[in-house]
Amino acid sequence: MASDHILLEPVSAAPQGLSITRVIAEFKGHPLAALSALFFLFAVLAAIFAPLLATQNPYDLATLNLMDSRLPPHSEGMLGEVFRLGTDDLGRDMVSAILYGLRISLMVGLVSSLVAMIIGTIVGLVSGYFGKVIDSVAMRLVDMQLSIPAILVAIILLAVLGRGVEKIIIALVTVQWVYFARTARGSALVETKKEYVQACTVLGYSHFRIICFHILPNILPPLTVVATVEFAVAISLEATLSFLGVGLPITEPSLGLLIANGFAYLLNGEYWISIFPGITLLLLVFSLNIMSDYIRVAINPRRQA
Amino acid sequence: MPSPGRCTAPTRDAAPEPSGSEEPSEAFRPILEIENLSVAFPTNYKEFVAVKNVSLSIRKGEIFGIVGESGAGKSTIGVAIIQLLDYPGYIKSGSIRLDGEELIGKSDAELCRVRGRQIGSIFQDPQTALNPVLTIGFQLKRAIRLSTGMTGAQAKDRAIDLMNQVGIPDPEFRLRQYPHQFSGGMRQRIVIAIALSGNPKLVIADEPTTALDVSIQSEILTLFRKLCKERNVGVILITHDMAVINEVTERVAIMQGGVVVEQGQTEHIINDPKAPYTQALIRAVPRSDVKLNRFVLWHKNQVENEIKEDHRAIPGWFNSNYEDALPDPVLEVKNLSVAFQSKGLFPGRMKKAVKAVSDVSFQVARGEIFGIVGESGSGKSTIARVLCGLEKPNGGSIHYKGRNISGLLRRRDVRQHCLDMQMIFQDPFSSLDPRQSIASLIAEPMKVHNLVAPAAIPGIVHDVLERVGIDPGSASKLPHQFSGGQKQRISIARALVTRPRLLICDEPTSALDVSVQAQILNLLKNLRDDLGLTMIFISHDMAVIRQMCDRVIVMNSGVICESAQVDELFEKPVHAYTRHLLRLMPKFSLRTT
Repeated sequence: MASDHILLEPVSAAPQGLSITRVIAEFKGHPLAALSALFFLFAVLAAIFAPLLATQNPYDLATLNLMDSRLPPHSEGMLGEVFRLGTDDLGRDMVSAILYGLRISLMVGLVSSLVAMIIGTIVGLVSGYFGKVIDSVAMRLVDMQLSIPAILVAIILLAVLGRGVEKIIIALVTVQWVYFARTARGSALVETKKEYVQACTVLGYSHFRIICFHILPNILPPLTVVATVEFAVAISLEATLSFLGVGLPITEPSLGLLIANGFAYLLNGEYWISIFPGITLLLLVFSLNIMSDYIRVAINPRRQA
Repeated sequence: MPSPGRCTAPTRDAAPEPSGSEEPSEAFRPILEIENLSVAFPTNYKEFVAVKNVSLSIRKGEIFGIVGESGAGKSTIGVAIIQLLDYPGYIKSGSIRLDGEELIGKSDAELCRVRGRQIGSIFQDPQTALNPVLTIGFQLKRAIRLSTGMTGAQAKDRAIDLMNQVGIPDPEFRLRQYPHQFSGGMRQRIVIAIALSGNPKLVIADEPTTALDVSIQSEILTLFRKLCKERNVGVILITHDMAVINEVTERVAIMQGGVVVEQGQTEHIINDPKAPYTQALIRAVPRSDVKLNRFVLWHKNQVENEIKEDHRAIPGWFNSNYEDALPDPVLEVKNLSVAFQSKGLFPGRMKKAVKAVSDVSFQVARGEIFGIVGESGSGKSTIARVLCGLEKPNGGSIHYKGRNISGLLRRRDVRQHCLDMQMIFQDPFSSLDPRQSIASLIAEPMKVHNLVAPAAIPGIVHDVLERVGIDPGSASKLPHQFSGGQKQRISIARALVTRPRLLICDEPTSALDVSVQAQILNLLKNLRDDLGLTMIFISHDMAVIRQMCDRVIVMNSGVICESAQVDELFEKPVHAYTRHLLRLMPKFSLRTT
């Protein structure tokens, strides 16, 4: 039998594993990461099932009782219900307000970072792949936007657009797309120079095909990490904007607005109106950051299996 | 494994200068003795033993070679001697004695006195061996200070002295320069100077010339020989290149899979190898003195005694393209020029242009393997990229199958015309999309260009994988699960799927081991015979060119120096540059054929 006819087996028997299995393995190995993931999951579930979990609908102004306002934690209200974390100045039960506030914060954060990811990735990919003029123009746009502080951009936009959830999302997307664009462009530049992309060009594939089917799947790992971080940033940014009073209306409070609300009462000693939403916000952003740290480590292709 | 601690400089008179004369028995005393060394790397599944029971002895003033293919464990031995194994590797057993002193079991502080002072190391990649933000002078003087304690003007004099010894011109001026201002060969000389700064008794050189051109390589090897004799240091030269071993070393050890297969005098081993693996390794090296039909291969621990050609029936689909008549010559290149310009600030203002290819003309006849040989920077890869449409030419014309395609390769009609011109790239590790299974990689060209009915695609993928020697059952695996040689076979399969008539091979085996190289080159020759391919083969290795090509052009700095039939070129070279290349090529001629 001629030696050239040996049918060669692949060298490593077990596949290195999809990114998701590596991430899960990493989380299992580090208790802090697992704890953060659990907390985040708990927060998401609480937000989804808020209407079932909350004892009171804080948006329904008719159910609120002004006589119940600013009651400390574990006090009884007019109708006999116990307010576990107290009430705020409008008589809203803090627990319900936090649950609904979580909803808004998470939703705004998720939608804005997803949309920013899509827009930023497209711009970054096209810019990194084609290079030259397109790259210069796009990156100068990015540079111009990055030179203005994010909050300033958001405030100007919101001043023009007005209040409301959709307007906040537009403002956040405008602020965040640049980070995705920069990361996508950097990775696309590296991948475009590699020989497999040149092989695709020689094989006659269209630009569209190369970008969508060959370059995009290979730049997803760093983008996923940026997405997780930007999710956390979006939530904090929205909280900041609401605190400053340019975000959501007072009747649909997010966590930031709740904190802002209670600010005036802190010196009074009525800490619970600000502190509890504040702690929730802190834990949420903290757990997201920890998770993104460990995801970044887990999907790093240079680590040994 | 403890990490290296801080080493402090000794007092001034610590390091002895090498003594001039020695008694004859002294000269043959081994400077390094390795006995039954085993190095293991624990992994999740079990322990991987990289080096098994290796025993070597290196004498003063000799160059000792360790040869093997990738994974043989030769670099691991080099690293184990100076005890810089990557965690979690550890020395399982054995003893390493430097001039009688046992090295294993020494504390980190004691080892610091050994590393750099008694044992110098030279690693493979000159690009990353030097700190890019410090001047050469700073790095060299620091090495001198740490090993001999000299400071100030004394250290500077010594640094200049070392630079002169390694052959760097104008050392006073060069001391103030940074690593990026030197070429690769110069950088390697500086690394050698740093390694020698402590007057070591032993120097470990791990593939010192692999990343360098053949002319620089010969200079560095001459330098090694000179320094070895003058200073009476022992040198361990770790390499995979048998020709280098033949040129420079006195004794050699052949390694395979962590075990020393054979060791002894270089002359004896190369001309009369006893172990079958050594025989196969030597026969797989491309010979530069005569052209063989096929390489001899190593299969299941035996050497193939006959050189078998592998002709198998090609499935019908593959053959169907090859019945059309192809014009002769297939490719005509006339006055091709490619220049890379750095962009000026204002358009229209010409900045310095690098002329990669100047006024190159050649023709490729039907069915021949056309070779382009040259050193790095000669423009050979640029020609390949221009032919495939990856670069635009600045001047000249390219006629493929009778039609002018210069600079138009992005247009749809020209693309269709050129679909049967395919390229095999140099680096197998980055030429396959890491996120796609090899089945979809190979099937994609057929899908995109609608070459065949979708139902027939899996069958064709199966056939072509079998033809290049990959098990079709592993078609759903990802590229990283295959070795370098296997990946190159997959690249060949992907190129074959569009039924090419012209195959451009841009250094396809430069990154592969010698035995794998022999397999891939045999495969290419078999495919050429079966499918009637025309090939352009680009390489910097003269011996490979001799074995593969029918006609050759020699390129230097973008210009063709000589163009001839391959036997004529090697036996009666006309141009001075060709003679220069042939003279510098490490000779691997066997006394018996």
